[in-house]
Amino acid sequence: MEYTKIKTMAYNLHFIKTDKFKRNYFKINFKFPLTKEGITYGNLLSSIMNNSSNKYHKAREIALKLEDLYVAYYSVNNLVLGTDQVLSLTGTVLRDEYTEPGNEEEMIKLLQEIIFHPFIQDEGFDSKTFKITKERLKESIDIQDENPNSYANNRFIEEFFYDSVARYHGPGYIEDLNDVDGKKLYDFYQKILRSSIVDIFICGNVDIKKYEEWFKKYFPINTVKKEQPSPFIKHKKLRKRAKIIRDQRDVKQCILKIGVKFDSLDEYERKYIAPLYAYILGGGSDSLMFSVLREKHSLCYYCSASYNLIKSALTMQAGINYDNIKKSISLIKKLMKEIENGNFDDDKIDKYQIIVRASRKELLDSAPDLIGLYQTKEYFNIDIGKEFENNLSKLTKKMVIDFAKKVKIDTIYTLEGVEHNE
Amino acid sequence: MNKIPLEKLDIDVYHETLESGLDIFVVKKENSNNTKASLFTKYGAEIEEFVPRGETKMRKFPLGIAHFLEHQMFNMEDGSVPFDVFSNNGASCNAYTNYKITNYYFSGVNNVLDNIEYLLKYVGMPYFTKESVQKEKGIIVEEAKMYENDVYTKIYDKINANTYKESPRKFNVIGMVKDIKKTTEQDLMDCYNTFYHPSNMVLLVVGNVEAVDVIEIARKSKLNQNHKNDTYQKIKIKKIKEPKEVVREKEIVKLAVEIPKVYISYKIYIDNYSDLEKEKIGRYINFILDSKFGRTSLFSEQIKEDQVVKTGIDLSHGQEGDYYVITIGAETALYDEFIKRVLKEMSDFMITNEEFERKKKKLLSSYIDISDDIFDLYGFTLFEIQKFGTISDNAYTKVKNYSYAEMKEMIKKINLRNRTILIVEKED
Repeated sequence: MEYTKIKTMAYNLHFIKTDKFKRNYFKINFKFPLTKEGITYGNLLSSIMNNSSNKYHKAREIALKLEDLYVAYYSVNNLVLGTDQVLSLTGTVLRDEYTEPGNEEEMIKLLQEIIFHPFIQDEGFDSKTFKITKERLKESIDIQDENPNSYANNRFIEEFFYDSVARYHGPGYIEDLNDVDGKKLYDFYQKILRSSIVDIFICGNVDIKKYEEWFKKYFPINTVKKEQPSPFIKHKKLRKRAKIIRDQRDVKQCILKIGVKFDSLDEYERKYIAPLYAYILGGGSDSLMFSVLREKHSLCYYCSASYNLIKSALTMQAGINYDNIKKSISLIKKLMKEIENGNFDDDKIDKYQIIVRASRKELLDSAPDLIGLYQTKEYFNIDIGKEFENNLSKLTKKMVIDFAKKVKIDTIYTLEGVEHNE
Repeated sequence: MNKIPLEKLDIDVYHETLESGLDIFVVKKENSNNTKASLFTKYGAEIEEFVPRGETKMRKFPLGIAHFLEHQMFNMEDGSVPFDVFSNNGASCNAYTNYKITNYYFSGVNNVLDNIEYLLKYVGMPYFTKESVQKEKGIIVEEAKMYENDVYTKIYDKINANTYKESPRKFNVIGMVKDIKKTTEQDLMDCYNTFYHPSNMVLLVVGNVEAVDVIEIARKSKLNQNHKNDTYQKIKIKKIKEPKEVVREKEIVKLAVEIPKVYISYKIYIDNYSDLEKEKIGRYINFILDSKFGRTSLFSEQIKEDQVVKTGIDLSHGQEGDYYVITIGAETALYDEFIKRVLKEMSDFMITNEEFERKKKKLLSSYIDISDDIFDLYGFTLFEIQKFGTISDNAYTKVKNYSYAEMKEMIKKINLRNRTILIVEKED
């Protein structure tokens, strides 16, 4: 496998060349600063781009074209990455040698059509397509509360990330949806094309020169963009005492979420020590939470802790019976104290290193994962290769104990059943 | 050892059956870092009553016991925890139970042969105590409640309850809380001794491993050694006569949903066909459903334009025991209109020759890149083993030989009269 980055004035081309796959994979990202209404607009726009273009007015026509290209595939998604939003098109196509000459180039032309030639009428998105898409998004926004997990998650992030853009809900907001029309959305689309940072990732056994030429020929991106500020979420204020939120609705099992935020971690702590801490506390089946909450006390089926690098936040969660909420919270606090006191097996560090090394090696087997790795490197400067290995091997138990002193609970959220039945 | 070359994929499968009856399939993918291996028993939630090994009479066991047994297999006499053992070897392991099988698996890039050895060891060594069984009951009850929180699980259970009258498929895999609570360690041991015999099990390994090494490890395992002199005994399982009709043709339920939902399920009896014919019928049904309701269909386009459905059509279909079950669903307040249109579309269950060729080309193209990903390769080979007891060396040619005339002939014979409709309305 060989990685090559080619910078042009308008966009970056990232080639991950490998002969492992019969398909070639693409990811084309337009990155711009995140706003609340941008989430709703981005969701609308990605949905319109998945279902129409100037040449293919209807979703059915696009689906037929993709089948004609020997089951090619593309999907436009609206991603939230820290303080940034990314309109991202992922796609894949079987190479010419497994299909017929010209199949790959046809796919690049289709992607060009989807990105640069939307179905426009009267300087706005086609009104019929826009209306159907808007109704669809409205339903997705309405439906998110059906699932207790998604409801609990939305409520938790609103309270936990109250002072940052990380509090926004993924599907968007009805008030922003009501406010937008085909013309406004077209302005938003044009602004994205004008001012985004554009990165194009290609993974597969590609002829780099040929693809460079194709993108030059088919992708009319000409503007030069300024670099954007750091995409990491910054927390203005950490709570001194944990905020407790108790919601009620008709659920059979209560959902517990505990959040911890950090405001002054250095780069090494963020990239290496915090994830290790999360692994020891609740990172898997040999974690403290799993062995104590589930295996020792039979309190739950699932429980975990995870650290989010971009949001500088640690989250613990579990699905538990109402009568066991207090006990579970107190056990989690006790486990956090145990880590602070160094009462955990010394070999946890070695095990963590083994797992992380193995999962990095696994990424090499999957083109979307490889693209994901280089995308994270590009946006969040994660380490790859020797640098990663050197830093990973430096981890010690003392580092975890020192870090544990900075771990203070900020928010405790529970979604509880209306009737406390068994 | 047999070698089965997989057509068009540049992949070879090696197959061996050990003295104990354990079937081993090694799918060698040379350029892979990762390996996925699984050991499964042909025992799932659809088996409720059988003659336990060493006994002579049929006995009924608590519902959900296959799933309970899966949980208990992670309890080891030496105190080791399988999750930890795999994790220390840089791999992750888990297990699942469905109606047909209980499957224990791991995937990882390091110490693959050690991991295979341990997989055979822990699934081959049952250790249940009163305490371990009692402790597990609490965890399984919480698992059941986690699913009860999910409205789609409730809907799925409801559809099954309306489709099946006698088959345990009318219940979910976990069983009811009362069944979980009455399960004993002796029940578990009886199920284990009957179904976890190597002659009822399969070891499937997909990755960059040598078949001879895998076979050697399996041969030396206690699972094989302890049973290599056993005489083969066919397990007697109570054959459940599931009527061809559905239980209920229509039901309206109220659940905690924001938008009403509707599901139309067809129960198609196919047990009078051979395994190969069943596979073919499944593919042909898929071609028709994809053409009629998929993204390339006029139906899907029209129903969205008319705003009967906004997000899309849920389409699921597959063989379930002696039946092929199709479910067409949607989230819509206009469910009567949706039902009317689906029934009309289903009344002519056929497509044109052009549509047939399009879907055939789609299936062939999708087959070619199975070898790009070991998880796809694993899914394909597991499916084949479950369906045919082996892996076909001509999967591509089989599809290539599908014909429109044959499809028409086969589809003509299926009966689409047995259907059940579930409407989910918003709670007051």
